[in-house]
Amino acid sequence: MINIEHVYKKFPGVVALDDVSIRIKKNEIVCLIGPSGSGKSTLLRSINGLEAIDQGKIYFDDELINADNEEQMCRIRTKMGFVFQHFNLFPHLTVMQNLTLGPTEVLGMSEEDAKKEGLRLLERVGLKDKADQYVNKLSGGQKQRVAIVRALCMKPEVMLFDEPTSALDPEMVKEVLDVMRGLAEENMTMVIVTHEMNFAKEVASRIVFMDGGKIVEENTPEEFFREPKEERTKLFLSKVL
Amino acid sequence: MWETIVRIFAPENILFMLRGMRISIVVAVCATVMGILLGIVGAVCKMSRSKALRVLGNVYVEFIRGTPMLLQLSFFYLGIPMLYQMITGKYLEVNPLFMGILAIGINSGAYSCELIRSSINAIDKGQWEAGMSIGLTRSKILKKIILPQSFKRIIPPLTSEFITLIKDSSLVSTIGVVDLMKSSNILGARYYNYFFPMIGAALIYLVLTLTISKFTGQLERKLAESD
Ligand SMILES: Nc1ncnc2c1ncn2[C@@H]1O[C@H](COP(=O)(O)OP(=O)(O)O)[C@@H](O)[C@H]1O
Ligand SMILES: [Mg+2]
Repeated sequence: MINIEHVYKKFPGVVALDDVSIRIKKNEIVCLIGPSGSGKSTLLRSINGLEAIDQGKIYFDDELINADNEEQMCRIRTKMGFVFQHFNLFPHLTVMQNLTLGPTEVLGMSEEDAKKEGLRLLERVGLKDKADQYVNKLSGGQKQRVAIVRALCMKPEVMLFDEPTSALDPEMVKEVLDVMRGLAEENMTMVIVTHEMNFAKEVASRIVFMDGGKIVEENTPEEFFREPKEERTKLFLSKVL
Repeated sequence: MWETIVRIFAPENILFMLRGMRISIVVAVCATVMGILLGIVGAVCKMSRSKALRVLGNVYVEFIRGTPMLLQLSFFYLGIPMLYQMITGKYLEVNPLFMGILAIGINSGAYSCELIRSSINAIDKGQWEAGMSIGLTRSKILKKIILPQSFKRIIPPLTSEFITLIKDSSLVSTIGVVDLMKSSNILGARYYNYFFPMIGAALIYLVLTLTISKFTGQLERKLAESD
């Protein structure tokens, strides 16, 4: 579904992605882990065309992605949901308006259908009663659940998560992870950047460990956590576990 | 002296100045509105991905801000008819009020452009990215997400731009528009006393600007509350 081939991305003074290749298959859940600054966000953002890569190729459903082609990016992004660390909800809109903006403006759905679908998904994440509130009134955990629903309203084929729980108070992490577990049960294809090792162990079909812009090691969660092969992986795991 | 004051501020003369005030307000309001529209266009140009549009936007802003408004005003009133005459050989009758509004509006547009642009830039870039991630085009993101949020930040500086224009609109008196400034000059000439008409005009300008800034203060508090 997503095919990444020899991707390089440089920022002034730092190589964020250094010859990264990875394939993500349909219904797979890939958890990207690694130290801060290792290029996880850059990789995820490149898949969504939020970052233009310098070299290499990224295919989505066999279509070569060009981040500078707005028409193409808009079309492809409707098939990819993106969840940001800092939610990035639209503060001038109510929860429901946050949800219906994409479906009505991009998918051409009627206001009524979009609302119905929004309400159905809100109910699933336990936020039906917040539909008409402005998002600034919500807690962090509630915001992130709304952000996930906003992405789901576009009926994406794959969901990309960039540290969805890192900006949350500890007591709110579970409510967000539970929503993601629900998606996992429905076999949603997901790429998740996370520091929640237990969660990764539980839901991932594959763990990908990055360091210094490179993919250092990838494996099934069982193998990965039981016997990591690379020194850098061992070092990282000894710090976080 | 008391007699002079009574004669100068006779009801018909006060009415005359108030009519001048009305013209000043018309010029300021029209120029502000025009400035906002031009400012939006200018800001969109300057932030466009097209180099040509960015250059165009820059030239407009730099040119207007780098030359005196009085020169721009004279250019519209005298220069443009002259250009027309040189090209076609025909005389062009222009309305000073119309040309005054046009010149000041274009001038204000360059300043509004920068105000609008900086308030757009002040919006978190995550808002753009969130808009992109749900498949919106850049222009839709601007319209549906960015501009509605920058609106709040633009209002206070735009009202002070309006206050500036209430005062700067007095420049149209130099091209024969009978605004508040000009009306006080006319009364001054009629009664051989410029002092009292000027004090009168100054007081009216002051009332106008103070009223607007009081109103602005209230509006700002309201906007701040809704955060
Ligand atoms: N917009 C940017 N401008 C400059 N450097 C950046 C930018 N984004 C990321 N980087 C750099 O690229 C490297 C990888 O960053 P990132 O992908 O955010 O890492 P991670 O998400 O794994 O913490 C870091 O060294 C970071 O400082
Ligand atoms: Mg990151």
